[in-house]
Parts: sequence; C-alpha cells; structure tokens
Amino acid sequence: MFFATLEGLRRFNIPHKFEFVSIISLYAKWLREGRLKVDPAWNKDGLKFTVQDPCKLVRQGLGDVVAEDLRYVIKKVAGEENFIDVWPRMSNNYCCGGGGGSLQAGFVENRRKYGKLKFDQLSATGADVVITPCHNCHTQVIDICDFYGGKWKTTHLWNWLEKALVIDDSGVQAGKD
Amino acid sequence: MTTPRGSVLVVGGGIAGVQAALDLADSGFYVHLVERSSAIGGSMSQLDKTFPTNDCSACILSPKLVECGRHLNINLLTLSEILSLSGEPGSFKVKIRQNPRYVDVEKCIACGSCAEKCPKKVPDEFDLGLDTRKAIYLRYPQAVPLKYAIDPEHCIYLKKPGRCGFCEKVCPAGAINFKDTPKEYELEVGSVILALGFRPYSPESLDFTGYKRLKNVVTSMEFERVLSPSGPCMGHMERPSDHQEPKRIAWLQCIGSRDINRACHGYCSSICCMQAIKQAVISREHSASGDVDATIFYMDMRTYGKGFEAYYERAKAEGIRFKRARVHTVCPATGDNLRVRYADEEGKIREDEFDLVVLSVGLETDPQVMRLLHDMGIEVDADSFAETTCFRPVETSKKGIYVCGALAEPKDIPQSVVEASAAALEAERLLHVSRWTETKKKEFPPERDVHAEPPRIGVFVCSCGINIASVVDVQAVTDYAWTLPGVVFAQNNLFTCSQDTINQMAETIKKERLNRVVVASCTPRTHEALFQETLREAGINKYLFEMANIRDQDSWVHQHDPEAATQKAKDLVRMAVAKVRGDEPLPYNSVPVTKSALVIGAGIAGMTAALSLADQGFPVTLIERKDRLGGHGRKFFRTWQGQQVQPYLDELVQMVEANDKINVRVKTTIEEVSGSVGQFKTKLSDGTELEHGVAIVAVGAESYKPREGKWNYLYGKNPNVHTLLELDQRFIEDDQGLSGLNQAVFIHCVGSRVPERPYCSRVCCTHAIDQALHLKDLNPDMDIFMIYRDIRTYGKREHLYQKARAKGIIFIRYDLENLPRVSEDSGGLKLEVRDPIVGADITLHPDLLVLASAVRPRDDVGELSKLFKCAMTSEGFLLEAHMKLRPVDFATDGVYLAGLCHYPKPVEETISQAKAAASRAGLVLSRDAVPAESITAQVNLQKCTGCSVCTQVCAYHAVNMDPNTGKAVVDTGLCKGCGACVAGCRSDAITLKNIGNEQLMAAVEAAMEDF
Amino acid sequence: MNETERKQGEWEPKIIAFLCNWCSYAGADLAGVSRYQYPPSLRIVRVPCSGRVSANMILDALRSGADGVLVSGCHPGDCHYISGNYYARRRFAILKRFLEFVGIESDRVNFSWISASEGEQFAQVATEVTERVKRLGPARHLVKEF
Repeated sequence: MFFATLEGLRRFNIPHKFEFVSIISLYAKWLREGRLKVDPAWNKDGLKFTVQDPCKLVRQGLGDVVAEDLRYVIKKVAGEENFIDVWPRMSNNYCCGGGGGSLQAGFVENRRKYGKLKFDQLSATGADVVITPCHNCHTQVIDICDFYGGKWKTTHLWNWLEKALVIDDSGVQAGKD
Repeated sequence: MTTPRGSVLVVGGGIAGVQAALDLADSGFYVHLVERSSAIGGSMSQLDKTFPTNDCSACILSPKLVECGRHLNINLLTLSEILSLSGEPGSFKVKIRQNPRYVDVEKCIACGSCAEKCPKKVPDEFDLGLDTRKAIYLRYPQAVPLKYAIDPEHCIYLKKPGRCGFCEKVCPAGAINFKDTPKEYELEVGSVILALGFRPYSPESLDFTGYKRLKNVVTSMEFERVLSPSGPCMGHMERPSDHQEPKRIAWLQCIGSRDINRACHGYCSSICCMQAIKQAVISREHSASGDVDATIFYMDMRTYGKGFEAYYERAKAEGIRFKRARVHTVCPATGDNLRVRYADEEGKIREDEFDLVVLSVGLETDPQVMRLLHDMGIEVDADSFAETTCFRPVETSKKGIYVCGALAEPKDIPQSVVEASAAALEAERLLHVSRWTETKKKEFPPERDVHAEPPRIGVFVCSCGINIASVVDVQAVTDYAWTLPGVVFAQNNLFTCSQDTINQMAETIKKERLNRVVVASCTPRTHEALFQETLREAGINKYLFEMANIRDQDSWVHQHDPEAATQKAKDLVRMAVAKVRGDEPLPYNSVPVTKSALVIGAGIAGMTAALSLADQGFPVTLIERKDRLGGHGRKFFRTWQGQQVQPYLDELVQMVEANDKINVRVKTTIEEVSGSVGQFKTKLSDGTELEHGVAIVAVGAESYKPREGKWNYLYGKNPNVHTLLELDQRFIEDDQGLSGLNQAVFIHCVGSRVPERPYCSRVCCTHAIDQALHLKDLNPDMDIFMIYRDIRTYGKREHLYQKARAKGIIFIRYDLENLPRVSEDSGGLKLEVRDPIVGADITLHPDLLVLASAVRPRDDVGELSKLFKCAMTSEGFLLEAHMKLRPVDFATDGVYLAGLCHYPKPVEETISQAKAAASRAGLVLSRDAVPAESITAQVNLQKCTGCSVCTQVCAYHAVNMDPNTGKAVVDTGLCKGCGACVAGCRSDAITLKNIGNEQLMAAVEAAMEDF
Repeated sequence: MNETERKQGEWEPKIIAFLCNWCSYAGADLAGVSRYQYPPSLRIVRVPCSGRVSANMILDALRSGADGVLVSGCHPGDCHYISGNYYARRRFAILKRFLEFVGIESDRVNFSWISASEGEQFAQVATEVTERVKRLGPARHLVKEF
C-alpha cells in the first residue's frame, strides 16, 4: 500500500497535499526530541542486533534517510555497541527474495535459493536478532533462517522498543507532553 | 570607457591561475594573484605523475611556480580572499582580505626548526589527511612562497597565549609574529580572471564504496599522495591499514560522476579514466616486485585526448585488466582485504578480492567558490560550473571577468593551460592600450668583471627531496666537491630550486665572491634558466654556470646501485667544474621584433587568432590556401550546446574582412621561411616576401572518407550512407527533408581507434549523438541506433548522452572482432551487428546510415612543419613543445599552433586554443626586442685559412667569407650556436663560445681523471 | 666510498657519451623520468648538436682513457639545426674506418639516433653499448703512459 501509493503519485506526477512518513522515522524523531525515552540497560546479555532494509521502504521508497533512522532507533534501543551492520547496506542492501508475491506464488525452491544470499549476509554478522520492518521481509527472513539453520530471531522493531521504553512512576511515558 | 587600468586580478593559484598570471605579466600587465591557501600550486602540486607522458608533476610545475613567485610584475597574495568586487570592465575595485600568516615572510628561512619543535599535530590537508603536519607548517616541500605559516585553528599559543610559543623560541630568524593581524587591500584592476579550480568529490555518502568505513578504500587524490615521493609514504606504495605494499588493486571509475541517482552529478569528470590508467601503470613501477595486479572497473573508457589512446593500449598490453562493470558493493574480506562484487558483461555476479580499492572521484565546484561566484554575480550552470558558451569559452556572464580551468567544466591540465592563456588574451584585448603602464622593469645589478679573477667556483648539490638523496650519497658528493681545484664553496640543499634556496644562493655568490657556479641536480633543460637568472641577480654573468645532471641521468637510472651512482655523481660534478672553469662571460644578445604576425589557415582557429591580435593593434597577414574563408567550420551545423555555426562563421568572416589590421590573402600558400623569432621572412606563393615577428599555424585537418577497405560500410556506393559532416550539410540545407525517415543508424569510430589510425577523434561521439537528437526532434517516431565502442561524451557533453538514452535512442556496443556488417538488401540497406547484451545478432534496415568517421591530419602538414622546423606526432598531427604545460607553443620560438592541426577538437576548444596562441604570440609582439642566442660561433682570424668549409655546412647562412680579408666572419644575429662549423673547421679556427674544444675536452678529460 | 673495492668487483667500462641537447639528451632525461635502469658506465657530455662533435673530440676521449664513445643525435630529418646530424653521420663513418685502421675495435665507437620521446630506447642503447665495450675490455691503445 505504502509503496504502491507513493510510487503511483510519483510516476504519474499526481499532486497531493500529504507526505509519506514511516513510523520508523517518527520513532527516530520522537527519540531525538526527547518525547520518547528509551534505555538500553535491559540488554544485559549484550544481544547483538542487525537489520534488513526493505526494498520498498528504503531502496525504492524513501531512500537512505529512513535506513539511517532505522539504525538510529535500533542503536538507541539495543545499545550502540550491540548493533552490527550488514554489507551491503541501506539503499545498496540485497532484496530478501520474498517480495513481489513470491512468498505466495509457489516456486518455493527458487525463492529459497535466492534467499540464500540474504541468509549468508545475515549469518556473517553473527547477530542474535534481525530487525525487519516489513511483513514480507519478516516472513521470508524467518523462513530462510529456519530452512538453512540460522540461529537468530527475526522480529519487528516495536518488540524491542517496548522493552527499552522508560516509563515514569505515574505510568506515563517520560518526557515532555 | 576611459583609459583602462593596466593591471589584472587573477583569483586562484593553481596551474591555470599561474599560467594566466605569467602570460599577462610577461606581456605588459601587472598582476595580483590571489590564493586562498598558504602557497600556490593548486591541485597539480598534489599529483604524483601526469598522463600521458608520466612527467613528474611537481618537477614540471615547480619552475613555473618559482617564476611566478619571483616575477617582478606578479603580486602574490596568499592566504587571501575576495571580500567584494564592484566597477566595470577596465576599472574594477576589489577588496581583499589577507589572513595573518603569523610568520614574517621576509625573515623566514624555511629551516623547519619551528615545525620540528611544535607539539601540536594536526591532519595534513595537503596529504588529504593521510598524514599529519604541525600547527606551524609548510604546505608542501616545493611550496611557493617557501615560507612557514601558523594554522590559527590549531596553534596552542594563539588559542591560549602564554601556553606554548616554542616556535618563537627556536626560530633562528626571529620570524614568528603572534601579533600578526588580517590585512585588507583595495585594488583597482582592469579585468578579473577566475581560476578557482575544483575540489575532488567526497564519496562518503556513497555507501556502496565503503569509503571511510573500510581502511583500504581510498580516493584517487589520496592515492596520488600515496604514490608521491613527498607524500605520507615517501613514495613507497603502502595501503593504509597495515602499511604493506598492495599486490591487488582495483580502481572504481565514475565515483561522483555520471551519476544522477546518488551523486547528483550528471556530468563526466573528463580526467578520471586517464588518471586511473596512469595510476595503474605507475603503481607497477612503484611496486618493489613489479607484479601489481591492477584492475580498472569502468563504464566507458574515455581516453579521448592526444596520446591517450596509445597510453590505454600500452596499459592493456602490459596486462592491466579493464572490466566493463559498475561495481555493486565493496565488502570487507579477511585481513583488511576487500571483496568487490560486480556483474560481468554476461550479467553474471562475480566477486574478486583486492588489497586496495581506489575510487576515481570526480571533480566538483567547492561550495565556498559557489558563494564567491554568487556574490560577484557570475552565473553558474545546473552542474555548478561557471556558465560559458561554445563561441565564448572563457567569458563569464559578466563582462570583463573571464574564467579558465576546471571552474568552467572538468578538464585536464593542458586544456586548463590553454584556457588560462585564452583568458589572459581576453584581458589583454580589453586593456591593450594600457600595456606597460603599471609594470615594473627588472633591473639587474651591474655585472662584476671576472676576467682577471682566478676561478672561485661554488657547487650546490641538490637532494631533490629524496629523488637524488635516496640513491646518491649527497653529503659525500658535497664533501668531494670541496676538494676540486677552483672550488671555494660547496653545499647540499634539500630542494635547490626552491625560492628560498635560490635567494640564499644569490647571497652566497655575493658573500663568497663566487665567479663560477655549478648546480648538481636535475636536468638543465628545465632548470638552467632559473639558476642563470640567479647568477645575474647576484651580479655575475649568467654564462658562468654549469649543471651536473645527477637525477634524471643518475639517481633515477641507477636506483639499485647507490655506490656506483654516487661515484657517477662525483664524476659529473668534476666534469661540470672542469668545464665551468673555462667558461667566459658572454654578451646578452637580442633581436628587434617585427611587430606583425602571420597566421596560416583561415578557418575558425586562424580567424579567431588573427582577430585576437589585430584587436590589440598588431598587424596580421592571414593566408588561406582555398578561395574563401571559413575552413572546416563551413561544414558544421551546430555546436553541442545547440548554437548554429554558420551565422557565427559569417559574422567572423565579416569581422576579419572589415578589420583594417588584417591583410587577408586567399589562394595563397607558403614557399619558403627563413629567420627566427622576432624576425621571420616568409615567401608566399604569390611571390610576396613578408616580414613578421611570429607565426600561428592553424591549417586544420580533414574528415576521413572511408571510400575503400574495412571501414567502407558502402560509403560512396549507397546514396544513403553519409559521414557526420555530410549529414550536417543536409541539416544546413534542408533538415525538414529528413523528417520522413523511419530508421537511422550511426556507426562510431569509423577509422578511429584502429591500427592504421590508433587515436580517438574526440569529437565524433558528441557530434553523432547531437545529430541523432536533432533527427529525433524532426521526427520523434524515428528509430535511431548507435553502434559504438565507448561513448566519450566527456564533461558536460554527457548530458546529451543522457538525453539520447531518455529519448529512446538505442545504443549497441561493438568491438573490432565483431564489426557491424552492412549490405544492400532489395534496394535498401541492411546492417547486422552482434548485440553483446542480448548475446545475439540483430538486423537493422536503416534509411540513413551515418558514419562517425575519423578526423585525420592533412597530408601537407609535414611540409609546413619542416618550413617552420616544427615536430610532428607519428599520427601526423603537429607536436607542441610540451604536452602538459606548453600546449600551444612549438619548440621553435615564435611559432604557435591552434585548432585541428594539433589534434581533433570541438569548436569551443579550437576557439580557446586560437586565443591562447594569440596570447603567447603577444608575449613576443608586445616587446621591442627578444633575447637572442649568446652562444655563437667565433672565428680566430690567425688560424682561419679561408677554405670556406664552414660557410657550406652552416644551415643558417650565418658564416660568410669576408671578400676583403678572405677569411670567415660570423653573423651573430643569424648564428644559432649549433657548432657545425666548429666541428667542420680543418684548422681549429672557429670555436663556439663556452662550448669550444677547450671546455668540452676539459669535461671529457675530467671524466677520466679518477680511473 | 672505496674505489679499489669497487674495482675488485666486475669491471665497468667508462664510456663518454656526446648527446645532442634537443633529442638524445632529452631522451636520456626521459629514461630517468620513466625510471628505465641501465649500467652506470656512461659519462654524458651535453652538446648543442651531434654535428658539433668533431673527430678530434672522439679521439680526445679515447686518448684520455675512455673505453668507448657514444655519439647520439636526433633522428634523420629531425635535427633541431636542420642538417647537423647528417654531417655527424658522414664524419663518423669516415672516422670509424680510420680508427679501425689504427687498431681501435669498431665496437668501441658507437653512433645512434634517439629522440626526446625515446627514453626506453636510450636505456637500451646505453646497455647495449656498455655490453659491447665490456666484451672488448679496457682500451689502452691511444692512452699515453708516462
């Protein structure tokens, strides 16, 4: 939806009065403004995080800016030292191999063969957690992890944001407002 | 306009600014040269070698910088910036702020004690941060002015007075001045030349390169510093991570160029292909084992300049690998190595491992410069370069302000030098009535008469940084010099050619009362003039001087035998000392200048040059072999920027014909040339004898017509096969007549880049694409195919290529193994060619087949070059005096070249070159006399038997028999000092001053003394 | 530096090279610029033109103890002074015959054309001439012993 609408407006040059924002950029914005407070202290064991840059969101969608925001949020949540980036990354990252309907379209062997590239790339980081802010990537990354025997956990971003959230005594999220 | 000022402001002290300043100052104008950093030299001073001659960049640049720094009529303002500019052409007011150096330039002797003691280390911007310097620093070892400067950003004392101040304590000259303050100047000048150059693109934002994240990924400018002997690795090729010599190096082309997607730079940076090939070639020379595996990843290999294609071919033959691929990502591999992932030509993903990756970064305009241009009201184009047009290539949007070098478009050194001279010409044309009004005249002190003195010889032994000292034991050579007869002084210097050492040499000559000087350093071919002037400044005759070439002919050619090289250096010094002992002071001869010019060829180049001189008041004879003016330009439809050529040409012809200083002679050629600079005598085919001071050769070239052979493609056999110029002719006559075509095909490189004509014709890619775009405009439904080898739309011409792609023009690549095949098929044309992307043959049926055929030199250029004693390339183009720094001069003084006879080039470059040639010619014409040969033959009448062999061997008719005495006499005005008569004389009666048997045999005998 | 030590090693001939300023001397410079290595046997004397080199000078070199002589000028047709190299060539051909007649091996005295752009060629010629002279051993024929 997000990408289809965005690209449709762009390609046909349709005037519109709204802007496209990912929730990730909003998290980043709120963190920078101090409206959202997180503390990586929960990560006592030093769980290592890495990331998948969804094509539709980053490479074809909003570009490196949102990819940088994504990394910013993960580092805030999990601790600067617990983030391991992938090669290549951001706009230059590999496709997960699950998009464009291929998760639903059969040809499982082909999809997984393609996904091997993503599997190798993610394995090379040695991370415990792979953040995938896209449901398609999420499903594919889980699948290739299972299939090829990966050790990591595949999740969305908010699962960890919630763990790190600082809430003051009144039960209200700390910060202004 | 009231009487204009006779001075010019040049902004930017790189090679372009320096060249413009020298041209102006040498032809009667006072120049203020403003430079932002603490020394002039610009980007060229940071380069290691230059293509395609592999000349050492600093070595060829240094004499120009020194000349600039010493020039009486150049006011060098370093650490300076422009605050404001107002006024109009002929009278501009400029406010300049000179930032404090905190070092008194009058006192600093550049000994370096201050930097040694300074505790504050900061990244060295000259080495692009690969190394550190101190807070008090010299920009680079050969810097002009050779004076230290304190960096106020980092100086501990300036930040907190009283806390450091070591430099002040150790400076033996008392040159440190912490109380130095900014100075403001208000200058009045007649014209302004902007030569602000470029900055290398920073690839930090291009994530896929890994730059700044991976230690062994460097930019091409950083790699220049790595290779440079004065760089952070002292010329030992090392990679940053572990200081080991890389064995596998990859170059990635088009980083920040031809990239609208991520770098926002749509243009081609023009120089990077050649720079990468050069670095690959040089890296092999630097490698101790010589087995560097070099790979260049590229899109199109753009080796379009003079000598470039041959360089490319040589690199391929030497085993440098060229891979046509755009790299996906540079990834880390084990041991700080790098894994480069790319798709090969078959579309297969490949990964290769390298020890070092070099990013060939493009050129862009510095944002600070952009602000300055904006403040001055100078318009810039969409690529942030100063806006110019093809017919006015060095003029900015503001009258009286000119531009040259990479500020207007990315370009290489020779093209920048050409434009610098062209910009100087425009300023000269504007201000010519005020020539010599603001200049000062050089006064040398009277020369000491040394005839009666016994030889007191001083020997200066140069280390040339490490160029000599790393092989030759310079201290041993210096010590040895002291022992030679007549030597009363000897000294070793780090850089003998640096301004500081030169000044010191002048002082030493006076103090030690030296009457002969020997410099043991590089070659006299580049440095003799500089040292000779020093002798004059010190009050002795400049011919009491010799050089011993212990670098080019010793340390560089015996790198692995230091002992023998040191011995050879001693021998060479001994020989030079032996010869200089016999040298005598010689008179300074000069030749009066006939203040008129001969321009040969009335095409765009010739007419532009003629007008450029005539507008300054110099009479010009313009000759043309054909019956009308216009030359090759008559055949062109439009420039790549879209300006129509024919109306421009008509206007040019009108201006030439209306100018009463220009004498036009059509259907005229040259029969005979005699004389030399200042005093040429030329016999024309119509019988007239011309006297002129200079000559400009602009005889053009021809378009190759492939009537027979491999590149024929049915040309001349099928009426629908044209050359580019023939299609231009149809555009000029009736372009609408072409709108009914369905399919047009262009074949590129027809007769260029082939064994019999190995050079690239430079203009055809752009020309063909522009024509294709015009066809598309005439009929948007026309199918157009380009059958090409590499697309070479350099600089801003790249936008045309992008436009052509966007309009659906299809590009199919071929190579010499798979030539397109053209045949006739039921009356129409049929073209078959293998498409390497599809991997199959495709067949086309064009209504129009256009051959982008080569530009070839004219067959009769050889005869003309002989008349003027000019050299030619093996390809038949005329050869300039120096490929990099003297692009419009011939080795023969007083003769210049412009246009296609030099090399294929588009209209804008032809116009620049013609103006540059006029500027260079102006150096002679603006003077009443030019220096002439002092080393001439001399007859000893006692010995002469009057046999007249000498008169027969003299090629200049300079030796004649005196009918009264029956003995030989030499006309010193005509004598060139070749010595043919000396060697020919049977009675040992003729000698060449200072190159007589006495001096030469002294050198020969000295060479053998120690054995 | 110890002279005798060096001489204990392989014998290196001493060769006087008369190079014209415009072509061969520039070629020798280019050999340096391009870092082409050649034996350290040459002692270069710069002359304006190969046509400046007289028979007398070549003899002087041999008399002074040179083991070999090289004269090098511009290619035919390229002489900076129009025709000097032609005179040099003619003079040289005659001198060479004379030297053979008096007992000087013809390989000792060499002539070549090297242009300003032929750095590699220069290094090659220097190497070849050195090897040729080396094979002949030291020249003492014209040296006057006291």
